[in-house]
Amino acid sequence: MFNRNVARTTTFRLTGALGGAFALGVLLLLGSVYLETTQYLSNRVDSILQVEMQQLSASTPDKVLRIVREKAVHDPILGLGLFDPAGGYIAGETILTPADMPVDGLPRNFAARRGAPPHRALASRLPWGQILVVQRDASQFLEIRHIIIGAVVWSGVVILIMGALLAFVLSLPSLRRVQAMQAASDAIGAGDLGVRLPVNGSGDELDELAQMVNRMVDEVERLMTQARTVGESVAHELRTPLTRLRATLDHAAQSVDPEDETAALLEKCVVETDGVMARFQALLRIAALEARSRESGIGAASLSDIMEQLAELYEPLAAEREIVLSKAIAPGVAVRADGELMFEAVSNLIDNALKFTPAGGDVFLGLSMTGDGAQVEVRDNGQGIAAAELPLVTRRLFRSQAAVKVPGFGLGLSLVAAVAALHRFPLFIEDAGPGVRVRIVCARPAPATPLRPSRP
Amino acid sequence: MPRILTIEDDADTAAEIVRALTDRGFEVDRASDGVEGLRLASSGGYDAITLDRMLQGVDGLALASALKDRGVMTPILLISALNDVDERIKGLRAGGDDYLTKPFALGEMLARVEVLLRRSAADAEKLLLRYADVELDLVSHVVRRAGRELRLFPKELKLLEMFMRHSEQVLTRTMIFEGVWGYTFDPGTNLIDVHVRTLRKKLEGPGLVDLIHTARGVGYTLSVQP
Repeated sequence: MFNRNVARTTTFRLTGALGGAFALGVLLLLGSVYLETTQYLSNRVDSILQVEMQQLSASTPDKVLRIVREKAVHDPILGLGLFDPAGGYIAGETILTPADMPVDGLPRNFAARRGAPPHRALASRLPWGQILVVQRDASQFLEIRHIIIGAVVWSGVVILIMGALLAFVLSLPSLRRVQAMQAASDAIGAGDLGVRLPVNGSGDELDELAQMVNRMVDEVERLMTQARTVGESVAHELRTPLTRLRATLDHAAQSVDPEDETAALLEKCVVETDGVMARFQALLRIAALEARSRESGIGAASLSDIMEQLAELYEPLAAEREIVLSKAIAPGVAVRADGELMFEAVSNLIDNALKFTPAGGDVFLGLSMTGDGAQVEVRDNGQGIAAAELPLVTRRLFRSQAAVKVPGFGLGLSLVAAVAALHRFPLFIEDAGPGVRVRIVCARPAPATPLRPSRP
Repeated sequence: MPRILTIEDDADTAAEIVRALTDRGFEVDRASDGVEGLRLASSGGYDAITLDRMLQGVDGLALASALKDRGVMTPILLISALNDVDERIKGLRAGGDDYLTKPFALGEMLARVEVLLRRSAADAEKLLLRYADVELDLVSHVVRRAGRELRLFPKELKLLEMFMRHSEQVLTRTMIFEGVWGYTFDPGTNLIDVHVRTLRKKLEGPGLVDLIHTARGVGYTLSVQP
């Protein structure tokens, strides 16, 4: 994983490419050294053989016979053999005979044989008809060639390994930087706007990119703060007058004769004000949830306990509305979550389900372990949500056309969505045909593989 | 006559709080800023304090913890515009005894102040509760009304316990939800009503008077008098 990441960095690729080019150059160089050297060596051997042959050809038969017999040559690894015109042995100690090669004066290679080393040799007919074989031990030459080939291969291997190693080592710092940037981006994405991408001051392209992103985050943070400050001050400005209004209405209601018509009107005003206050509180609550730093309040939460408590809490209400509240709650299921908020969210779901299910209907509470994680499910077989309205239900203050007669503010599912988003738990609102099925999968989706810019 | 100190910088809100408390028969002093509040509260003699969380220039939480540091044990009802579980926890940790979020109904505020006034350590440790002809044994979980044993579910027992510990006091729905279930969000009116109705039905019997009464627009109260 990590190695694949290293291989993807620009530094690694660049160093790799440079190292490759360098290695290729060195290989070419060594290759040409090899070719040139072997060429030179074999030319030299050939010229020795040919010169010897020429000198002896220019000599007299007696002299040649003597030289061959006495082996009177300067080169210790040179061998001479004299044969009669039919190829019969006369004198000398060559391993090769005219039977081994054409008598044409051209040097040839001969492999090792009869316990003797490999040779290069030529055979020529002397002016007086005898055949002279000149041979030279080629093992030295082959050894040199072998050494050169070894040098080429080993230095090539070493250069390639060193290059790859160097590329890897050089890429690590930039990979670490990218990983640090990715961690910072993830934190920013998760809502921590105080985090900035690391800048090391080198002014390279990564630094410039980081600075650019940081300027963007600065701006986003400024705007968010502005929006939140405005929202908070509006909320604060409204809270006090609403409290006063409610108190004044209380006061007024107490001051009039209960039998008076005004008393009934005031009572209505109090009820309406309470409605406004409840709506206002719910909106503020959702806003507070959305503005909340994501991790606070999150700990181990027993979903099994929460669901059992909720079933117990809503059982009497369901019974009163003649709705069968059934449950299938897996025991011992715990997740990392804010237990209070999960309780509140699921209680909103159950409240909705009970509201939109007629007497005689069923509401089902489920908690199960699925492949994706713990799944909370609230299902009813009530009137359901029209397909066209499904994408809209989590919007604030959205109320279904079919729900106009049911009391409520249209904030329940918004709160559920806010809680799910806070935990980054996927939320599904589906048509259960009939009725609605809402599922919260209590597991964060697996984080995207590091260094992959796109997310699924 | 219980004496209450209201520390609140908004004049109108303060006036309404003071009026509501006075109407209930309490003697009320008002402090309009933190300094005066701290001085009055430290001088003692109050049975409860209502304290605005955000006073001009002073953090109500700091004031509450300053009071507790000075050994002032007067129960404090924190009134705050900040409605978040975290804020509530912070408030209670700083020395508040209860927490109320703005905007609030005066009935809710009064009910909470009364609970604070009647709170005493001795009561909290009692394991056998009696009110009128009802007897609740918290050790054996046995409930008797007029000598007859009643069958109650655990949550109904807790609800009855809360009523009996605060007999003849108004309990609002949010107070009941907090006290019995331990959650602080608004549960909606019906949910708690149903639980109270169920308990009321179980306490009924031929020739017995109703004990749980509705305080209209506010909540419920356990009392022999309607």
